[in-house]
Amino acid sequence: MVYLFQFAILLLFWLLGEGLSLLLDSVILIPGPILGMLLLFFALSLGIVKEKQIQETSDFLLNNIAFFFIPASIGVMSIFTSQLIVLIIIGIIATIITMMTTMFVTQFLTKGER
Amino acid sequence: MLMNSPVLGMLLTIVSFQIGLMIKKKTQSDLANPLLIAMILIISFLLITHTPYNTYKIGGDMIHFFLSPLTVALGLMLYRQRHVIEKYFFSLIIGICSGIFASFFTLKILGDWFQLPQELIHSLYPKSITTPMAISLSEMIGGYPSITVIMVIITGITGAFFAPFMLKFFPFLNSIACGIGIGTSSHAIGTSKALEMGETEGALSGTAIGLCGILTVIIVPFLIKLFQ
Repeated sequence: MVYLFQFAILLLFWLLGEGLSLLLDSVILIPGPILGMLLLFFALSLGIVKEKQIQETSDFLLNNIAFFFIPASIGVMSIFTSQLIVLIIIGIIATIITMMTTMFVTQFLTKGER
Repeated sequence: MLMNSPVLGMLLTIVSFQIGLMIKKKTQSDLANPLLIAMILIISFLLITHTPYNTYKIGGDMIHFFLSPLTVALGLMLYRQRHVIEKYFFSLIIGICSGIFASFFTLKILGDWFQLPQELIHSLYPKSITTPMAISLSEMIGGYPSITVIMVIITGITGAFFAPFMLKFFPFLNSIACGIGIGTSSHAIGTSKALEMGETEGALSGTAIGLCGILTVIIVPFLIKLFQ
């Protein structure tokens, strides 16, 4: 029952996130679950929700995170694209440039620190 | 009957992922990504047995549903990192934002240069952030979520592979810069490498994952509007 109750708390924050997402709709588009995540973060910081009230179910989800992405990746079957190799090349170049830029900017900001 | 039941999709996903985890454990290789292995196994199985994607999807959707509560649970991860966030707040925010801009413009320039269709370029933008957030963002900006997932994995493997070389070529980089750079560019897969490099690297890389996700979701839609 503990797991289900903790799951219900996560669902409640998802619901609140969806509600907030609708409210913000005209200003900025942010997906409901991501707003739910932020709301949960603030609720934990303010002590409204205690870590132990969601711990087991959250850790179960977080520790098996990769498993839940599989169905989304299989969708590629229905949009076969010969440009996949171009995408991969661009992706690799962009990743390296992103990593270098972030590292250099951060290095500049934290000069002297170790 | 079996064609309309979720049992096939669910069973296939769980078994394939277990095989992927076993191969990962046996080889210990960064290239042996359990998710990628599971994906190849499932697609091969469906093609060989002539099972339509929509049959798989009935079971797949039931697993896919858990992505939203999982995203909410990332709030707990962020909460556990609050001390790191407080300590390195400005370096994190500015470093991550620079990475987001670098990623966006590299992808836009290269994508336009290769004359890729807009939907494909949009599928690439979320690729540096953690998968549940990347899928949400991809859907929102009109990309193909499945391409995004694959690119997220490839990005992670690339980051984990190149991270040690960065330190070799640029030995002046400190551990803060390394950690934030790895987490911003290559999320959790890169972070597994950062953890091997040191405690500070690992903590900052892990913290950068969630923050980079949030900032990307906020910034990228604006950039798309601005530069379309």
